[in-house]
Amino acid sequence: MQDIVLFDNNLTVLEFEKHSECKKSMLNVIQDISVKSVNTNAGHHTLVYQTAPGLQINNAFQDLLNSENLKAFCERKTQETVLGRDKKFVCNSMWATILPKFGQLSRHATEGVFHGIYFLHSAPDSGMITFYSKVEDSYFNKFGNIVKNEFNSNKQILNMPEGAIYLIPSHIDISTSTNMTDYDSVCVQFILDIAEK
Amino acid sequence: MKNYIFNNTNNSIAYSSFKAFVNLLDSETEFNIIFDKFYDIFSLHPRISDKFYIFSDRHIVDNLLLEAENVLLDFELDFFLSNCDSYDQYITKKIPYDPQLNSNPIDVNPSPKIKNKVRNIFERANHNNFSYVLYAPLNMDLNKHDFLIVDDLLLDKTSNSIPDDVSQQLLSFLESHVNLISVTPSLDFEVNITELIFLVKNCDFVISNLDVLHSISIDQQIPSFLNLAKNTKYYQKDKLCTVYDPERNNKKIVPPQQFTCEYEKSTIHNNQILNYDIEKMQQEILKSFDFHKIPYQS
Repeated sequence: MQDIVLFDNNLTVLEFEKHSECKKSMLNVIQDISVKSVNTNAGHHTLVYQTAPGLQINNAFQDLLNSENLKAFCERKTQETVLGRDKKFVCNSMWATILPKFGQLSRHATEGVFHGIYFLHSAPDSGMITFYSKVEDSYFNKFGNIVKNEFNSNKQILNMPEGAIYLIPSHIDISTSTNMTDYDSVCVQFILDIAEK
Repeated sequence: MKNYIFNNTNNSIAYSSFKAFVNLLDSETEFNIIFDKFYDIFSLHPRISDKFYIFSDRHIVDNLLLEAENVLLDFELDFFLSNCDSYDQYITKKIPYDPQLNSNPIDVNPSPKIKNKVRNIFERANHNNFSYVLYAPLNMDLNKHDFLIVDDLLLDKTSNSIPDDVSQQLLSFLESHVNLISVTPSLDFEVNITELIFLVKNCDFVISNLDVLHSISIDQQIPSFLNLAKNTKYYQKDKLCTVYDPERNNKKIVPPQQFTCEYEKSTIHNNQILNYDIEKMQQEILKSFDFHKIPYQS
């Protein structure tokens, strides 16, 4: 008996090596943007603040984009997806999300090939992140009311550990639970897409 | 016992030599420091301040000069003839200290009053433009004046050769991109050496001419942009410093008749001023921000 992976629905978890060095400067930039720029949140809880995309060109986030672990992920995916020699993965969109008390992200997917979420400031017990498969509920309802795991459920619920980067295929939906703490949670979301070299 | 005698000095020289003498304290050599002017940086270290004299202390100086070996550091003719590329290089030549030993930046212990003053400066400069950049205007030579005296009329114009609207254009450009702390007399800005070092330490970036701000930013390891337009040669190279030298690729002008050395230097200086491309300088500053990963409003 052997298992063969049919489709890539995996979550890759990375650590951002320079999280403690870069956290303060990134938070300061996001704080400044939130003071001056309009909220581009469309569809999530009204208290959620989202910056406009474009943070990938801001110097404060260059260390994140040049992270060795993120580069290793891109190299691995280049081989796994048999990407042509004239193509490469690039980050073409990046934005920050602030989840205050009672804020939560509604279920959504993104464009591009991979969706990354970097937990810049994650207060303890500030919520969980849920990942959704595209498989209909009716399929998994047959398993009945049992302890859910990756084999019998179309949802997976995980923590949001500060300093970690979660990378998923961008067709996978995500949402977060409500932040019930008094502290804002801040995450940086980005899209990896394919571009010509 | 040695006397180190300094002539034709400025604030940059005082800063660099202070660092050298702090290093020299650990050696067995006894020494005195005799300067042509008073600099408050020497009061930062009690053992150094005990050894510091100025020329006007005439009777003390006469006694010191007769009793020890005298080493003269003249920062005009002797420096020019020494073929050194920077004040630090010249000082290292004259004072036997190892720059690699104890090369920590000068540390200051500011009082709560100073911390409060600097915090107020930052709060006034905060326009939510991500980074704090300390800026001395074009060709404003902080070496020639005591720190930032607001009422000094000489500081009201950055230079007679730079039109006011050009200076204002660069100032406005920088203010739109970063939280700018500008050391101009248009703001109520008056600091001493301790405050200036503490201010530079807390900034993200420094834009200066070749003066004490440059020396402090190199020492405190703050990324910086050095405007060399007024000077031809002497500066302290450092990987954290971007040097702007618009004349570096220009061919030397060969005049049809024999000119004196001063006139030739003046020609180079005036060409730099007249051909001052402010747009290019703005681009180079942004490139420097990108190189040192300083966030700014695009």
